[in-house]
Amino acid sequence: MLASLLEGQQSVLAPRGPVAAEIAQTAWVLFAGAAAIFAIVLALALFAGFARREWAGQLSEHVLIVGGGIVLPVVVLCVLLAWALLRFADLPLASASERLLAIRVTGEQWWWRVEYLDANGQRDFAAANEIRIPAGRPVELRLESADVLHSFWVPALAGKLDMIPGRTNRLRVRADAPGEFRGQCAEYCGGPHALMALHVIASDPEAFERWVAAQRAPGREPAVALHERGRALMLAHCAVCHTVRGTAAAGERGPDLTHFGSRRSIGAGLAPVNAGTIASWIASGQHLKPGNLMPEFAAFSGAELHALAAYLENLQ
Amino acid sequence: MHARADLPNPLPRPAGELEELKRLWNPPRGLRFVTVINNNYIGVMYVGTAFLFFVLAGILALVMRVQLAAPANDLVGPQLYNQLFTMHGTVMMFLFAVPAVEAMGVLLLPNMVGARDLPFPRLSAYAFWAYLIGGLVFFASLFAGLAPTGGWFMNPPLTTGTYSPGINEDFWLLGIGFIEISAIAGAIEMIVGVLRTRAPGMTLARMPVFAWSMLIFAVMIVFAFPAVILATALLELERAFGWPFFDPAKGGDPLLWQHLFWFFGHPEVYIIFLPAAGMVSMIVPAMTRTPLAGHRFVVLALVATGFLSFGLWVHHMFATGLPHVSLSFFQAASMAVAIPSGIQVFAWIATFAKGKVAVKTPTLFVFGFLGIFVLGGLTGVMVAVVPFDWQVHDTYFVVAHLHYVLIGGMVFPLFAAIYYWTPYSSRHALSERVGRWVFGLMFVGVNVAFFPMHVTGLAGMPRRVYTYAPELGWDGLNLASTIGAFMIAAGVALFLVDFARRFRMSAEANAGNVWDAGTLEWLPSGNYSSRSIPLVASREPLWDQPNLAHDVAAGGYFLPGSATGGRDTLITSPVHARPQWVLRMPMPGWPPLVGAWFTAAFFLLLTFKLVIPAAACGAVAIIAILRWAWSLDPPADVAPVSIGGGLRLPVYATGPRSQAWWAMVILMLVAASLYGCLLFSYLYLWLVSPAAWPSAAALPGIGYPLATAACLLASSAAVGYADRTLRRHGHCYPLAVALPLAVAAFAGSVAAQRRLDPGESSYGAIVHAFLVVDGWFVAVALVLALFALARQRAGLLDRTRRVTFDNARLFWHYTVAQTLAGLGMVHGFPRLVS
Amino acid sequence: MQTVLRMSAGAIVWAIHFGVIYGLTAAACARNFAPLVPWIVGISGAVAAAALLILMTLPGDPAFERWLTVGVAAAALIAVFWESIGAFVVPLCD
Repeated sequence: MLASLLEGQQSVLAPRGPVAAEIAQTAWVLFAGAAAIFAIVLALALFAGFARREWAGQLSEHVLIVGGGIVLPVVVLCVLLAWALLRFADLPLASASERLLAIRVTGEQWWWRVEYLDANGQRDFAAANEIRIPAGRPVELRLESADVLHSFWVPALAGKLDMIPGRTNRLRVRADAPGEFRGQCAEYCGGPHALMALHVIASDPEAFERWVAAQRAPGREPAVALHERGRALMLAHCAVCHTVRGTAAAGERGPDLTHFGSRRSIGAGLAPVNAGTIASWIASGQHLKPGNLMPEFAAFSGAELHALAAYLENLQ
Repeated sequence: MHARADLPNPLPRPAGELEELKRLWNPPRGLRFVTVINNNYIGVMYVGTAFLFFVLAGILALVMRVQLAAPANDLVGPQLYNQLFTMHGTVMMFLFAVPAVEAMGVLLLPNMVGARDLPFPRLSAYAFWAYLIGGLVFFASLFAGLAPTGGWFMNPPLTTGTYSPGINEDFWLLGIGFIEISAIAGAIEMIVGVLRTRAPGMTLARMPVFAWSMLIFAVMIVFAFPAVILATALLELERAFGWPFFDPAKGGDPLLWQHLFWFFGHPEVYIIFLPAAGMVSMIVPAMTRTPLAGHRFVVLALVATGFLSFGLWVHHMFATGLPHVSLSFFQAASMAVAIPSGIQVFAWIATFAKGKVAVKTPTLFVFGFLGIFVLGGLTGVMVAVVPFDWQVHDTYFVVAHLHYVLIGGMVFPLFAAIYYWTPYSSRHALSERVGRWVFGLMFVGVNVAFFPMHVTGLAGMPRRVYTYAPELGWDGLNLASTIGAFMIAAGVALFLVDFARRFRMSAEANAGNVWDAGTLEWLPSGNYSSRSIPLVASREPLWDQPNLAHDVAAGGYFLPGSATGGRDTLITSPVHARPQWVLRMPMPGWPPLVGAWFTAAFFLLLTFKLVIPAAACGAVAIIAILRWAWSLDPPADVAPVSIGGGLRLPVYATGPRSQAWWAMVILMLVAASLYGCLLFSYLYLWLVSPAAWPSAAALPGIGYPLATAACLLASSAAVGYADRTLRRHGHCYPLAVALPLAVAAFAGSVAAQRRLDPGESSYGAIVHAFLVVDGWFVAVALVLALFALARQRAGLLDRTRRVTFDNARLFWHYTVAQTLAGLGMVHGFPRLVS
Repeated sequence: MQTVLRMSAGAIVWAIHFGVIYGLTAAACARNFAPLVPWIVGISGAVAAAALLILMTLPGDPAFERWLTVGVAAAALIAVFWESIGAFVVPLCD
C-alpha cells in the first residue's frame, strides 16, 4: 500500500524527469543516513540509561561528548554539505544556451493561466489548468502571479518554485517519457487553495506538434442547434470574463475556454470535464469550490444549462 | 547566640525576623490578590495560562484532523478551516510556546539562582495580564468569525487590504503586536535576573544550565522579536493607509515581509527550544543523581545554537527563486546548527551512563523527548538540503518535521518539567501511575499522528489544505494521523484530570525535594524564596555543601530577613557574583494590572477601528504606567545595610551598577535591532526597485537634514549639560532646553518630506516609515525627559538620587544617534548612489 | 563587561561575516555582478577566520570564561568555513 502510494501521480519518489530523479536519489541517501544515525543514537541512549551499570559505565564521557557530539556530526555534516552542494550544482536547472519552448504560467486565485510563447516571447495561444509538453525535450516555465503568492509544483518533474507578483521565476523541466503528472499549488493563497491543482501531459513530439496546431485553431463551430443556443448564451453571459477564439468572447479575467472541452479537468483539478460537471459548475460552483471568483449562475433554466454545457463540452 | 566560623550570620536568629520576612512577602488577601506580583504566583498563573492556550489550540487541531480524516470531507469549509489552521499555528507559537518557557523562567529562576524575586516584578505582572487578556480576546475572535486567515506567517499580498478586506488580519497584527511587547519585557527580566541577582559565589561557571538557557533565550528575543514587530507595523501601515511596502505594482516586494518575518521566525523556534533543553539539563542530573556530564560543552552548545540560529531564516524561502549561492549560505548554517544539538544529546547520554536512572515520569518524558526530537532534528538536516527542500517545502513532510521538533523538543520537556517541578510549587506531587499513562498515550499518539505525515508529504500532499481528492490515496495516512491526534488529546486530558486532583499551590508547604536534587530552588522556601541567600561553592550546592538546607532555613547565610524594612534582594556582579548592593523591591499594587488591562483594550479597540475609545483606554494605560513609574527610584539617602559576613552594602546604585541602567541598555539593543531592520528594509527596497528611488536632484535640500542634525546634536549637548549641572548643583533643569530642540528636529524631518506621497511608491512608504519610527522615539524621549523634570520639581531627583535622569539621558543620546543614522540613510544614500 | 564581550566576540564576528556575504552577494546578483561573488565570499571568509583565530589566542579570563570564548570562536569558524563552500561550487546568481 505504501509502495503504491509513493508511485502516485503526485509523488516525490516517482520521478519522471531528470531533476526530480536527482532529488529522489538524494532523498533516499538522506533517509538511509538519518535512519542509521537515529538507530545508533537511540540505541546508545537506551543502553546508557537502562543497561547494567558495569556495562554502561564503560562508555567514556569524553568519547561520547567530543567524539559523538562534535567530531562525528562535524565530519558527517561536512561530507553531506559538500556532497549535497555538488549535486545541487549538477542539477540541470540553468537556462542553457539552447532556445527552449517557453510557457508562461501565471498563478491566479485559484487557477493556472497558461500561455505558450513564441520565439519573441509574445503569446502564441492560451490555455488553463493544463500544460502539455513534448516528452524528452526541456521546456522553460516562466512563473508569475496575478495576485497573491502561489507555488508551482509538479513533483514528478521537479521541485517547486514560487509565483511571486512582480517577479518572473524560471523553471526548466523535462519529462523523460510520455505520461501524465499532477501538480498542486504549494503556497497558501487563501480560500480554496486546496482545490488548485493542475495536470502536465507529456506527449511524444509529433503528437505535441499536432496538439499545438489544434490549440492555435479557433474554437470548434457548433455542430447542432443545441450548441448554437449554447453559444448564444455564452456570448451573452460569459464573454466578459472568458475568451473563446473565433467568437466575440474575449474576456481575460477567467480561463481561456477555446479548447476547454478537451481538458482533463474543470475547476483546476476538481472534476473531469463532461456536460454534467460543466452544468454543476456553472449553476453551483460556489458549493464545489467555495470562495472561487466565478459567480454562480443559478438563474439559468435547466434547458439553458443543458445547451450551454453541451456547447462548452463541444469546444474540443 | 554564637557565630559559626563558616556562616555569614550568627545563629539562632533574633525573634520576629522570620515573621517580618513572611509578613512582607505575603500575597495580598481577598480581591486584592489580583495585584500580586511575586514570581511564585505570577509564574504559576503564567504557566497555567500558557497551558490553557495549548489546550485551546489543540482542540482546533482536533477539528482540523477530523475534517482531514476523510477525503472531500465537508465538516468544515475553507473559510472556517483557514481560520482554524491560522489560529492553531498562531496560538501555539505566540500564546503557548514562548509564554510557557518564559513562565517556567519566571517561576523557577529567582529561586534557582538564590534571588528573592525577579528584578522587575511589576513588569512581569504587567506582561502576564496583558498576555492573558489580549490572548483570550484574540482567541475569541474565532467565535465571531473574525479570526485571521492568512496563516501564522501572514504573507502579503494575501494579507494586504486588497485580498483580505475586513479586520481579521488586523486582529493578528494588533493582537500579536502586544504579545511581542510582553516577550520583550520578559527578556529584560531574564537578562537582568540571570546576570545581576545570583547568590554570592554563583559564578558563571557555577550557574545552573537552565539559567544559561534563559539568558540566551532572552538575548535572542532582544535581537529577533524587533524584526516581526517592524514587519507587523509595516503591514498594518499598508493595510490602514495604503503605504506600499509589499505591493510590487508600486515598487514594494512581498519578499521583504518574508525576510523580516523569518529573521524572527527561525530564531523563534530556538527561543522555544533552548529553555526546554535547559530544563532537560536540570532534570537529567537529578534523575540520575549525578552531575551533568560535559557541563561546559552543554553551555557552549546553548550559546552556539543561539547565534547560529540567526543564520537560517532563508531556509524558509528556498523555493522563492533567490540566487542559488545565497541559498547555499543558509544550507550550510542550517547544518551547522545541528552540531550543538548533537553535543547536548550526547552529554545527556553520557550523564545517563555515569549515573543510575530513576525511572519516574520526568525520566519517561525525557526519553520520549530524545527519541522524538532527534528524529525531528534529522529530518531538519534533510530539509536543509536545498533541492530536497524544493520537493518537500510546504508539504506534510515539513508538518511532520516541525511537530517532531516542537512537540519532541518543547512539549515533552515541558511535561517532564511539570512532573519534576510540581513538588516545588504544590503541596502534592502528581501521580506516578497516571503519569505513565499520560506519557504512553502522548508518546504513541505523537508518533501515530505525525510519522505518517512524512509519507503523506512525499506522496504529494501540500500544507494548509482543507481537503484533498479521493483518488490520490492519502486517506489511510490521514485517518491514522487523526487517530494519533486523539490519542494525544486523551493523554493531555488524563493529565489535566490528575493535575486538578493533586496540584495545590503552595510555596511554603510544598512537597519538598522529593528527587533529592542539587540546585537551589529545592531549598526550603516560602514566598520570599529561601530564608537566607546562600554562599554558593559549586554547581550542585545541595549535594556538595552538607547542611546547606538547614543553615539557609535557619538564617545563617546572607540577608536572613529584611534589611531595609521592605522587600529586598541582593544585587551581585555579572561574572563572579560578588555582592554589590541591596535592591529594594516593590509591594503589590494596582497600576501594573490596570495598565495591562487598558493596554490590551487599546490594541483591541484599535483593531475594531474604534479610535476614540481606543485612545481613551490608551490614556488610562499611560496614566497607570506613569503612576507606577512615579513609585520607582526610591530615596538614595538611606544608610548602607548589613547583610552578614561583615558586608555593609548600599541600597541605591547609579550608572552601570543599577538594574534600571541595565534595563535601559537592553531596551536600546531592542531599539537598535528594530532600527537595523528598518535600515535593511530601505536598502532591500532600493535593491529590488531602484526605479522608485529619486535622483539626488529630486531629494529634499541638504539644508533639511543638516538643520535636523544640528538640532539633535544640540539637544544632546543640552542633556549633557544637564548632567553636569546635576552633578555640580543638584538639579537638571537645563534638560528643558533639549525638549523644543527635539521637537524642532522632528518637525524638520517631517517638513523635508512634505511633498512625498507615502502611498505612491515604496520609496515614499519607507521614508515615511522612518518618520513614524523617529517620531515614536522622539515622543518617548520627550516623555522620559519630562518625567525627569517632574521628579526634579517634586524634589525626588537630586545629585545622588538620579536614576530617572540617567535613564532619560541614555535614551536621549541613543535616540539622537539612531535618528542621525536614519538621516544619513534617507538623505545620504540616494546621493551616494546617484 | 570585557569578559562578556570576549565571550560574545566569536558570535559577533560570525554575524558580521554572514551579513556581509549575504548582503553583498544579494546586491551583486541584483546588479549583475556575479563574478564578484567568489571574491566577496573568499575575502570575507579569510578576514573572519583570521579574527576568530586571533580571538582564540587572547589571554586574560578565568578558565571557564576563556574556554567558552574559544569554543564560541571555534563554532563560528566551522560555520564561516561551511558557509563559504557554496560560492565556489554552486551556480552563482541563478
